[in-house]
Amino acid sequence: MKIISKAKYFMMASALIIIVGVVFGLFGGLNLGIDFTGGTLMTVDLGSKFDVEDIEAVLKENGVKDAPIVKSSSDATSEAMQAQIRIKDMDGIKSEDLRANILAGLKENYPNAIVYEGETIGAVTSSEIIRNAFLSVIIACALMLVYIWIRFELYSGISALTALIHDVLIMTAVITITRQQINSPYIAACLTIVGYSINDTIVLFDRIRENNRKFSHKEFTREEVADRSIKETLSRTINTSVTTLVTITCLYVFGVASIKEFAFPLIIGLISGTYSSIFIASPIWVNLMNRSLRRLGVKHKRNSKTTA
Amino acid sequence: MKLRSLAMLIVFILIVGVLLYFGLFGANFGVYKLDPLANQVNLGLDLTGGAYVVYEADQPDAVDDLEGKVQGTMTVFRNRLDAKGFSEATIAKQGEDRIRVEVPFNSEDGKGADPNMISEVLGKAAKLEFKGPDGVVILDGDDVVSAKAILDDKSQAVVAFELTNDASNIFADATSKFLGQTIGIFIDGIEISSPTVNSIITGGSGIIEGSFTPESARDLAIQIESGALPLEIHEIEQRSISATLGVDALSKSIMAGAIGIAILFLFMIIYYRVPGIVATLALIVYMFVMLLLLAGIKSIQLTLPGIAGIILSIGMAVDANVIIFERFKEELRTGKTLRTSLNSGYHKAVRTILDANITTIIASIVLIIFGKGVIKSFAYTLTIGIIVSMFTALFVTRWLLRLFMGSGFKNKKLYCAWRMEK
Repeated sequence: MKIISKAKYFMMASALIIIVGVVFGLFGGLNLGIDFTGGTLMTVDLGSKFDVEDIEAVLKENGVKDAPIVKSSSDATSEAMQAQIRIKDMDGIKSEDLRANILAGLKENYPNAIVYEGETIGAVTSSEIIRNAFLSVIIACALMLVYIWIRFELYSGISALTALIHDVLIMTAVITITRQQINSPYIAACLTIVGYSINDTIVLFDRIRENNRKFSHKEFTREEVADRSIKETLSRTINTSVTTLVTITCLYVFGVASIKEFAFPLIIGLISGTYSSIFIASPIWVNLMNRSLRRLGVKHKRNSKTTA
Repeated sequence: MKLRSLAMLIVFILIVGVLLYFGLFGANFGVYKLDPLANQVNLGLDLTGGAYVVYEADQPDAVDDLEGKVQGTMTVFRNRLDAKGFSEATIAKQGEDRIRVEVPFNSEDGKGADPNMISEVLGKAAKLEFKGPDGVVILDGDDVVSAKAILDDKSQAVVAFELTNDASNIFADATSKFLGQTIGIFIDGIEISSPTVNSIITGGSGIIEGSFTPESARDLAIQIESGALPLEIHEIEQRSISATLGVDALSKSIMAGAIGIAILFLFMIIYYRVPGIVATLALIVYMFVMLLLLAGIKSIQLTLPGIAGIILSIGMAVDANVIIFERFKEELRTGKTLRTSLNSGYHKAVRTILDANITTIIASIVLIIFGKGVIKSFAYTLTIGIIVSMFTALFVTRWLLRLFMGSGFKNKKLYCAWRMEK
């Protein structure tokens, strides 16, 4: 196993995904949900088959412009009886009145219409959600860095944190490329991955810490130590990732729409988290370690040999 | 020794089985009835169906005594909701100038779930005014002691009201002044009736006539009685989940969880054999403790993201077991005995598990403090889940592995399967 020596290929692969994500983001924009944009999302169950034109007519009566309507059904087998309507925040109109008027209008043609699911987020709330999410990620990262610094050393902390940033970037890139909607479940998934991926990296770094003491700087290169640690923890890494992936994939497959919105980025993050512990965090640690060893003037017996 | 271990093992498995059965299905001992634990878990709106609305004060900086007025508004909300039969509704202050009202879907009477209904009950300020023909306000809602809907002699629904003593005098003066003229009764600035004053009203009571149904008369009475809101408010956030969706979300998540966990158990038993069985038992204990905590701590609401948090923490509980077993296997490979391998493997695994889980707990506690709504509920279950999973992995798994070893399962192959030869 010579993973560290091939690190640049893995880093290039990750960079490629992130760049593609940025390109998609620049040209297609992010698919932001109402948690971020504010507005009203109404899923109306009309109780029977329906024409989208009928809904458009009701929206028009209420002065709602360019509101996308998506047909859906509560389960895959039945006919589409639900319409999801997304309405932007409108100045001067109370959202509660607007919702009541739309439902009343729909009931003229579809007497059994009910609101299956509805959500209104004001502009104030949505900016608060974003601010809160950023704040919690930054604080969580800072505290984790301090903890790892104390329990391990600073280089481990920096490498682990870089891997975390990598995971969040990969998740965002994949979400952007697949045009999935970004709402608070996505934020929750990112935060989860911050917690989970660090867990994964710590298990590997714990082994590196152990081997780092066992195999002296004079006898072994840090590449060897890292590769050895990766190999020793590999079956644990695979088993844990597979079991967690299985449970989250079940949630994705069987869950309702709002759970899917959470489970999908989580699946990406879990894969990325496992990948980054091995292919991103460890090489960075080796690099930082070697620099500091060079500065201290530690020489290997098998001098310039960098790979084992 | 061997028999004792075996007996303890069997007793343990039986206890776990019985507890799990009671936890899931409840029990009935004559007069004593034990509700299933699962039914005592405080479910969030997204799993029961229901609605919440968050209101914010208009220009909070310009309001004197904001705190008192928010409190007053909450009291008015409570009165209106109770009067409408939404006794399960919760009203909570959020931050300085916000009020969050949650109304769960009530399966008995089918109420709730419709945020428009909540807005109607709460949002509509019923500002009552009596105006003379000159347009001057004589009395307003604050002067009304009580109002209720009654049927008059023509079986028409009307609202009867009683005034305070002071107001009675003012009203008597006004009715004498405007005798033969009309006095307008306005609700929120809209005239709903303009009775002609036929006599001087001194008793401080009267009726409001209008084209009411018994239902609308009752609504109006409630609104008059609870008065206008002390605070100008507007809706900033709202979410409603129909009962069908809530029930669907709950049953689908439980099914997803059950299938995921079943696959996980199978994997662990096939891959790790005896330790796999131990891990399965430890995970069942873990799930029971989680259920107990969720049912016991009423302030924790189980929501959809909360379920995701639990499922993720199950993943981490498995991880702790995997770390232990892998270490155990490594120690076995060096040729040590089962018991020594277990002890030294455990010793090394504990540090890893603690470091890994503490970093995750740091992140999830930050989420509890700074996160809102969805994220908070997720972070709660994740934090509890990680702590419980560490406990089961560090204590229950170890104790069980010792019992298994003591009960005569001593073949090393049972513990690390085919990878022994390496």
